[in-house]
Amino acid sequence: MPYHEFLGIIVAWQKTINDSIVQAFETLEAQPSLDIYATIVLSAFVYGLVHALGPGHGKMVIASYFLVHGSKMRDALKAAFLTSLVHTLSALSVTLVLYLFFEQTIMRHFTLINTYMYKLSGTLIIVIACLLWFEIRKIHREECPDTQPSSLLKIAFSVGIVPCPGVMSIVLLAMILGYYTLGIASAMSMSLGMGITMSLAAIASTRFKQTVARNRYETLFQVLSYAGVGLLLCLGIALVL
Amino acid sequence: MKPLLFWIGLHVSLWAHPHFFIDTDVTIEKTHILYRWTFDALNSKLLLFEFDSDKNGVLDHEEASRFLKAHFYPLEANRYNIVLQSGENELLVKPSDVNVTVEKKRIIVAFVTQNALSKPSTLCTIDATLYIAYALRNVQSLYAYEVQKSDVDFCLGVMP
Repeated sequence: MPYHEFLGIIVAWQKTINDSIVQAFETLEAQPSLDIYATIVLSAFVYGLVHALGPGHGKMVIASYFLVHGSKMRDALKAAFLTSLVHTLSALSVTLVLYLFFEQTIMRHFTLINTYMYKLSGTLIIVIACLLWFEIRKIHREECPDTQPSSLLKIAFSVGIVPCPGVMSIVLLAMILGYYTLGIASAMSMSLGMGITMSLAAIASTRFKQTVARNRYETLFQVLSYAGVGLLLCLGIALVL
Repeated sequence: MKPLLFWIGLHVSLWAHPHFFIDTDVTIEKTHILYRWTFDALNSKLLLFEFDSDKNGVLDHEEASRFLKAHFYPLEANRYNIVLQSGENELLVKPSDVNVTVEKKRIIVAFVTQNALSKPSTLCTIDATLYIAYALRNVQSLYAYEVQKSDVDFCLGVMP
């Protein structure tokens, strides 16, 4: 399927889910019920799954990272869900600050904040790529170096720091209507959905590297590591530019 | 040139994805083209929260001016996301009679461009940053036309 067609399908789904969430909030306002609460939280989960299928959300960065560093599925899952959590917490914090202090210019700040956060994220990704490059040079004789928890946190923070505009929109809508708890629950539900989608990229990458490691194609193994660093560098530079 | 285009394409498509969804109606007349952009329900609600200061569900003159200044006129930098090619020439897209209304809780921006199409032309609406998805909803045209569209952008081939 051509990429443009794939993107079109995701956009259409996302739009449909968007509309149904708004409708659910309107129903909730007219007739509050536990069913509608559950519907909104569930819709947010599906929204997260679909939303992260599109470009962005760090899937490529995480996949590149796992081409370089470690090949355990457990680490891949950790990195994906951590990134998704940071992505959501960042969105929650930014929305809360905007809602409390910038009510009159809230939507204008949405775009502005994202632009600067992308640049910060790009810079951090470049730093991580450089650190990984030094690491590969140091340990290139070892097979499958283990991923350190601290380095998982670094990658999750670097990628996830860009607040997800999708989460921001849903949380802001909930806040405007006075449903603060529901807003936070929806954001966490979205985070879970995004985490699942992002895990697929990380798992695919680790599986690929495991295959290479198992077959002992050492040269290819090293090439892949450097290719991963190269990809990370390109992604970081692209975000900063 | 090709590497540069590839880089720009890669640069945008790596992370860009739509967060605004606009349904577009286009009316092609002899002397002008009328556009009607209907914002999605979610963003209409959020934008009304910011711009409908008196919370009466409509945007009065001052509120509409603020809205256009923040969310429409900045698009000039990208030619209002409209590419209009007539024959060999790219025509200037300059909106006039810009009007903002709220219908069924959705924000609608309507505007006119004074473009007369005398040669076979291509009219596309696309946001190069992919932040806004433009879906074509309806076309009315004095001339025969063909449509090529997705849920993100669209192009019309107009044969005067």
